[in-house]
Amino acid sequence: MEPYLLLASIVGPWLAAALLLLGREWATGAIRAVGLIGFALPALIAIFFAQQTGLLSEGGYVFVKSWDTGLSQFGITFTLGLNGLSMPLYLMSGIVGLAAGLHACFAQMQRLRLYVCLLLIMHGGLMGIFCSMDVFFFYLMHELALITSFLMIGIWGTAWRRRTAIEITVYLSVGALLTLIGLIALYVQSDLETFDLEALQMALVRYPLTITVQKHIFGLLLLGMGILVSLFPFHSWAPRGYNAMPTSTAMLHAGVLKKFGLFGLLQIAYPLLEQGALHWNPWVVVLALCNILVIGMITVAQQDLKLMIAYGSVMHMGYAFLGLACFSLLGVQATVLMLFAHGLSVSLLFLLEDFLRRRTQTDTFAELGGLGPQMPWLSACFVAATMASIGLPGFANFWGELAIFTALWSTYPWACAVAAAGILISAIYGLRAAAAIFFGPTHTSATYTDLTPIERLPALLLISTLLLFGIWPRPLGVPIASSNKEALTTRPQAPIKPLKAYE
Amino acid sequence: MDPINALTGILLAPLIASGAIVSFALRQARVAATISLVANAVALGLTFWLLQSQPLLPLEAQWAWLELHTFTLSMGYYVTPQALLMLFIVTFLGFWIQLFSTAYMREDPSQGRYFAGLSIFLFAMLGIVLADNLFMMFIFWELVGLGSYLLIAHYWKTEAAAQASKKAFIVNRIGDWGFLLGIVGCFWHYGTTNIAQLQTLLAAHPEVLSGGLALLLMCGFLGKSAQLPLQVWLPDAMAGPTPVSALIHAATMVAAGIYFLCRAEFLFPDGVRSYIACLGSIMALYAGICALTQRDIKRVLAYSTLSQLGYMACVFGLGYSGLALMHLSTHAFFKALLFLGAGALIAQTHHEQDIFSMGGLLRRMPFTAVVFAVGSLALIGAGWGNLLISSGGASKHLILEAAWLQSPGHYWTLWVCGFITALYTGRLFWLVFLGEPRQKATEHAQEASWVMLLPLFVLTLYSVFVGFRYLMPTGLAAVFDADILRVHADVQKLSGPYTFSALHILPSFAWIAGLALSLFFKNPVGNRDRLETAAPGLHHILSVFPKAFDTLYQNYLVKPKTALAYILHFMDMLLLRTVAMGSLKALALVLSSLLRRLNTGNLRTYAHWTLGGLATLAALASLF
Repeated sequence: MEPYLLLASIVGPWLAAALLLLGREWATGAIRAVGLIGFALPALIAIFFAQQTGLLSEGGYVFVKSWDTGLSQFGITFTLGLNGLSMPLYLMSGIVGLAAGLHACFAQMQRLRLYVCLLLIMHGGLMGIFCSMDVFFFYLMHELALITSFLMIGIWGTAWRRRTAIEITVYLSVGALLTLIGLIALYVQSDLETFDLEALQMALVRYPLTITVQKHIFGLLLLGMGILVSLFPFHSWAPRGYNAMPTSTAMLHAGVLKKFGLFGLLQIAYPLLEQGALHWNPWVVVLALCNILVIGMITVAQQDLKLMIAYGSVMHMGYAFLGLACFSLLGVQATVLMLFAHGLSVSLLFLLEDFLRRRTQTDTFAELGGLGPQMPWLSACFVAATMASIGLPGFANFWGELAIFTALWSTYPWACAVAAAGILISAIYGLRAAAAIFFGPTHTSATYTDLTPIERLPALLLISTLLLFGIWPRPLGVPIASSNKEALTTRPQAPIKPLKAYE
Repeated sequence: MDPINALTGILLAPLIASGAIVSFALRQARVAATISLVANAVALGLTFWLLQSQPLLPLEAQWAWLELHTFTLSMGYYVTPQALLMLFIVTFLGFWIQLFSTAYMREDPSQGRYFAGLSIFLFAMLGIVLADNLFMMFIFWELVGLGSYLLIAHYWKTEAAAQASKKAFIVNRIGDWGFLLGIVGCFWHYGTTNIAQLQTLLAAHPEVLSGGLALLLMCGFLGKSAQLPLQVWLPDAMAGPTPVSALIHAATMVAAGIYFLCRAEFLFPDGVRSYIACLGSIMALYAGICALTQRDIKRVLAYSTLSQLGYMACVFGLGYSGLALMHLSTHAFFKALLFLGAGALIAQTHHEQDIFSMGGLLRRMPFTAVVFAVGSLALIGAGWGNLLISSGGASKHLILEAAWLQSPGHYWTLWVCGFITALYTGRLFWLVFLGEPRQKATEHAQEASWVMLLPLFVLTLYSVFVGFRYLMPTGLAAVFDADILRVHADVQKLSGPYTFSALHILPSFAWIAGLALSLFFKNPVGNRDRLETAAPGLHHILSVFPKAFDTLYQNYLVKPKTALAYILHFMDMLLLRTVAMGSLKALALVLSSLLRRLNTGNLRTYAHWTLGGLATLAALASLF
């Protein structure tokens, strides 16, 4: 039963998309109904799985099932399954997808049918990323979602859409290509003739590749996935790209799709290529710190809300890389916590920015101010989203950042000290935005309407999920804690050991 | 009832209240106020029950909250006598200040937001009080910051509130940065952050005590208690409603830093302590000087809060955490009284906060004047040797005795502070209550309603020494008594003419002289400070003090930060984007030119390529 639900979470949105392609004229209501069913299905399935954490506590993958796709002679089978690391991200993907879908269906877009249709295709791919156990399909799902997002920028993009669409396409395709080369190299070098992740993990942990090979493959994967996750200095596609994307796409891209690279690093590159990772790790740490400090400072300089959110999301990726670079199971778990929360909070910010810009026609700070009393709902949601993204306790983001700092201290205390300065930088730009838009005296005499009930729905969905896991993070901790221990516990010990004076 | 359940009730009542207000009563002012007040009353009642039942201390309870591989974060309670004292102060003051708020905020349309914020704050503050480990303390530490942020921003249509709320949060985050690192460091260095376990550990192995971690932890205290060099946010925080200033920015939240120091005193080695003592006495002096030239009644009180927190930090640093907590307690009551008194004045003079526009209020609001006088005497530390009049007099007298025992430098600094405190407090009192009204609104001022006066009356009782000593629930004074006895015993050994004059004559001389000298300010010329007209040079020098740090930070931190941000942004756009995009473009050009060469239009070439490709594929296929 369960594996078919996994399959349904991928194929369901695609079927809805296919349905939307049929026929000539569609009433808006019908588009919305089909779209919402397509988006709600994966979310419900994800919530269903999220409740079954007991099964995950055994460790390893559960709900596994393979389908032969005729490619088995290349070692490719369509295998689905979940483990403790992918479970939270699968859930996050479902919820962000539903929020983005709710936004898309009621967004008054031109050519709504095509918009919802493409977004559904993208979402099916996203769900597939986190439950694919086959590296080939893992990559394929990502490509599918990525290419759909290119199309959406090209059609509905806002600022400089043509140029940006081409830029982001070329940039990300290079990243994806490098990743692909790395994965193929891994496939060839492992000599197992399989893309199955579990089989690769089992084999490579016991019989690791030679150090030189590991170094090269890891380097390729790091570069490719680094581009996809906007690791400094390969981030320049991100702010402009997000600025140009239509909002629902930006929510899915920044919230979910971007997590592919990190998820790949933590599921594939780090555990399978341990020596290579050790070789490149200093680079990862330094670049990730650049993400936090340099891009954090650049975020402070932004004058537009959407660009600020985009840069801010790039900045927070630095934490995730640092979590991986800790080389400890704690660090990996912390990264997953962080990615889970970040996906929700960044898509929430993009959503609210869209609501704001639809009303004011601008998101430049200097032209806004004092909107709070007119729009209490929007301002309350925005302050909550800001507080979440700057890691205030009570929101899920806090646990991710806290766990990353904790993990980091035991490996690189100095990096922890530098990285923790990020909580200050993000507070500076986040609160500045809230104050500039919603607080203070008003500049204009124009009156704006507050969020409509249908607009509140996706915002409340995201906020309540952030709050739920912010207040009670244990359900997230348990499946993560039971994640693939075998692959990860063989890691070298952290250079600094805690002083166990008790013993 | 199980005491642990009572604690959970105390902690959750305000949280539930704020949740209920946000969900149902944001627009219904009365309902919101009632919910908030009832929740606070429940917390207060449970606290009294707990004190009454005299549970076996310490009370401990723990729940695992987040379990990761090598890291378990738990929530829990660790109730010591100190925690009980704070529990009483927070719930008791919270109740009276909320009652006062119902009248003070009567006209305000967004009372729902206000009371939800107060309840969130109380929840967070109680969490700090009860926390059994440093991580939990950090969580609630940040949450009180949120409460403070939301309430400073209550009048969010004003620029001042917008800026002040942001500033308070960000400056606090600077402190929290160090605090967080210190806590994470503790986790790895000591292997636990549980306060009770740390205490046992350090008692058994004093050699593992780390000074560096203590310095990091101290940062949290500097931010929350607004001590040098992070004090700049507190005077601006007065942009919030006055009861908020009373509860958060005078009595409880800013004292949380001191409470943390006292609760985790075993984590601070002597070197760090003496550093804290120095910072404290410098702060006491600096803030006192700043208060001398303020015109806004709330800012005078804000600087006096900073100064009194300096006293507490100083005496903590000298090794008497009991005395620090005693001054914390007396200060909480009399400063709440002064702020609420100021609130009554502000409410009755149509939101006038400039003391030079007040005047003559003694006749118009005699009750408020009397209670304000009692609060002022407590702030000044009125007393004569061992004859203790005010609650503040008692705690300050002990602090001076402790300073005399430990370090003459601190003694003399605090002695000067005592003089300055009397000077600015007297100035405030004379200007507000004596003379003639200097503004229309002041002329028509009347006594406030009983809802405001009742809290003032209750707090007045606690600001008199006898009231403080005998109205406190039994058992709480035990927190101070050990240190008091220690100081008295040590002073007995020292008896001599010097000690006698230092401890009995000089302190009394300081406050009486200060008060007498402050009469100089009594009759201002028009709307201007008398010092400004009589000695403009001195006044100018004195008025540089309050702005000094803000100017310094603006010029040497904020501006360079902004410049750096713009430079980095520019370089990012110019170099990275151009280089990255340029190289991609070049790559694309090279590839396309190569591909173009293939597109010869010559059928034979195409055929060769096709054959070649097929051959390659065949070769590859044969390999598999």
